This record gives sequence, structure tokens and C-alpha cells, in this order.
Amino acid sequence: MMECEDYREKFVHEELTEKEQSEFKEHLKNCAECRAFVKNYNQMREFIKLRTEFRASNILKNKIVSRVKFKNATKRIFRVALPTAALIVLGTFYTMSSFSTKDVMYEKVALSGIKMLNSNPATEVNSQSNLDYLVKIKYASDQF
Amino acid sequence: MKKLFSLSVLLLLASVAFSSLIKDIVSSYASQVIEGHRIVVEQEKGSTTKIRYENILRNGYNEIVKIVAPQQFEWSSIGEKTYIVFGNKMRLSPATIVDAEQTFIKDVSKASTIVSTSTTYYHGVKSLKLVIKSRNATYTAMILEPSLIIGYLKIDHKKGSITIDYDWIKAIPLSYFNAVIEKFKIIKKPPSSMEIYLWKLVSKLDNVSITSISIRDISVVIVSGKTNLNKIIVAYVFQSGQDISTSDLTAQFKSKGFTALSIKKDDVEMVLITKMKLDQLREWINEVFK
Ligand SMILES: [Zn+2]
Repeated sequence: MMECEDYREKFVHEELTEKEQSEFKEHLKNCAECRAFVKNYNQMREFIKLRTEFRASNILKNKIVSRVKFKNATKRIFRVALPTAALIVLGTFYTMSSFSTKDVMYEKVALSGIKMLNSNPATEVNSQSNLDYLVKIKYASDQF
Repeated sequence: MKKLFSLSVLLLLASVAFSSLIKDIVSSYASQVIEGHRIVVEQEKGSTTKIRYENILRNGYNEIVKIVAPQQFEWSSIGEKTYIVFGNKMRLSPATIVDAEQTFIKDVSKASTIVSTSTTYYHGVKSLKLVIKSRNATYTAMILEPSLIIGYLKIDHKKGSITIDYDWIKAIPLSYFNAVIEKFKIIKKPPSSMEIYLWKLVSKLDNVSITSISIRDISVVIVSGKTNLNKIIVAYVFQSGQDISTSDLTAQFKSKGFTALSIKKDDVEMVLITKMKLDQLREWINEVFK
């Protein structure tokens, strides 16, 4: 059997023999972790290729960077959309109902936390806050 | 007997030569001024692989690291202090960020053994391929010749591996590095207690996320993630002195059958909620804020 961690790295570097390569492709069908690895690595490679090919031209470089930013921004929109929508609903509730009490506020504030408690936490860097650099610190640091 | 003697002399000679090679690499690292682009892949058993693409500007142990993908983030290490870069400002970080390459240099300069050396070509540059073992890890490094700049490094440690792979690197003049540093305003004000306690939570949770919410004039930060026992914890964190009571908030969760606990550290209030038992939550909190 294959030790996937060793094989997948060799696979993306094209260091496997033909036989190993076809074996690994079979393995990819059943191993989500390896599929994610190969996908991420190829995306990154693509990014590097773009960068090195177009390094000479600043205009193009800017385009590439803005594309990355755009990608992040679109992802973010989806992430922010839900909680923000919840807040808007919450906000209108306050302005519209004259009999809103503090208890209601607590209940509403509590609701977002309970929702998080009942859902599966994100598997990638995922934040809707200007404090998200705290999460990025973790991502940037190589502890072992 | 004679054979054994000559063998040990040989080994002794070899280890002297090896350690001088390590010394050369370590002292060269401290004086290198480089600019480079590298891909960092971190794999740990049982967790998702992290891949980053980084631009590095380094003078010895001082460096500015700009993560370009997948999420943009810039930090620096200057005079053994970690700063987070916000535009043209650098602010002291609530936590040290570790560059595995520097861990390698520090680790091998203490106690390590060279397992093998060979000459190879890395991206077309004549290089030394070294396998070095220390107590913490096994390092496979491609050291470019004659500059002794690290072109590739793989760290195999107990929990997994880290690969650092430069696709472009070059020596740059010190004046260039200094000119870049001078453009930044370095703020040495220590991080706020809010940042420090939020970091304590973030660092102890996996798949963690941070959400800021503000209603009227109250602002609350919600941190959520999984503990090492795979249990979800959600923490409400806010600056004390606001018009929000922790006991009222705690009551909300208790009334819905969740475990909730409020704590206060300096001027920071926290309400933690979970489905775990109260004792387990208390234990986790003690572990995080010890
Ligand atoms: Zn696999």
C-alpha cells in the first residue's frame, strides 16, 4: 500500500515512475486529502508560473495580484453575507419594534454563537473581522 | 585493533570537517542579504495541508515576509521581535511567528549530525545536498554554491513535514534592504490585552474563525473553533465597561441547555459556550489562560 504523504509530493513534482503514477491516480479517486493536496499544489504552481512568466511586466503583475484579491473578495462576500444578513435582520428588528427589550438583544446576540456551536467550523482561514490577522499569524507560523 | 583505531580517527576527522561545514552555513546565513520567492508546504498527520507562497526580503535573521497566496498577509522579524505589517506600519505581534528556515539554522548550530553530503544541481545551480539529523528533526537541504544560500529545505519532524522551496532567490545589496525597512514606521507599543487574550483563544483552537459584531454602541468579537478533543467552543470577547452584562448573556445559553462560563482577564470580558460538561470547559479555560 502507498504511504500517501510521500507519494503525493513526488506526484506533484512528477518524480513517480509510470507504474507508481497510475497507482497514485487510482488512489486519488478514494483519498480526499490527497485530492485536496494535489489541487492546492497545482493552483499554487499555476500562480507561480504566472508570476515568473510575467514578472517583467508590472501591468500584468498588478492584474495577477488583483485577480488573487478578487478571488479572496468573492469568497469573503459569501462568508460575510450570511452573518451580515442576520445582523441586518437584527438591526431592522430593533428600529422597527418599539417594545424591544434588552432580553431580546441578548437572545439575538446569543443566537449567532449558538449557530456556530451547531455548525462545523471552517477548514480554511475564515474570518469576518479586522482582527483576522490573528488567524493569519497561525497560518504563517511553522511550529514543530 | 589497529583497524578500529584508524576507523575512529577517520570518523573523528569526518565529523570535524562536517561540523565546520555547518558552521560555515550558519555564519553565512547570518550575513546573507537576499530577496526570494518561495513555496512553503506544511503537512501534519490528521490535519489539512497548508500551502503558502511567500516573498522574502532578508538580512541575516531580520526579514520581511509577504504571503501572497492563498491569503495575503505580511509580517516581519526584526531584532528577534515579530511585527505585523499594516500598510506602511509595523506593529508588535501578540505572538512570535516562526520561520522554519531559521529554526533549521538555530537547531543545526546546536547539536546535529550530517548524515550525508552530495553534490547536485538545484534549478540549474551547483548545490550541496545535505541530510542533517538533530534531536527534533531530519533536515534535507540544498545549499547553493558558492553562496551557501538555502535553495530548498525539507524538515521531517515527529508530527509531519515542512518543505520550503525557493523558485527564485538572489543576493541583494544591504542598502536595498535598509531602504525598504526605512519606509516602514515601526510601532513598538505592546499589543492590547484584547489582542493578547484573543490570541490565546485563537492559538488553542483548530479551524478557528473570528467574527466582529457591533449592535448599537456595543462591539463583541466572537471566536469559534475546535479544541484538540474535537469539541466546538464559541467565545464572546469584549472590552469591559460596555453596556452588556456577562451574566445576562451567560443566562441566555444556560436557558437553552448549553454550558456557559464567564471570565474576566484584565479589562477583557469573555463568555465561553460549548456542549461539553462544565468541568471540561473549566479545564480547557485553565489550560488556555494558565
Ligand atoms: Zn492519500
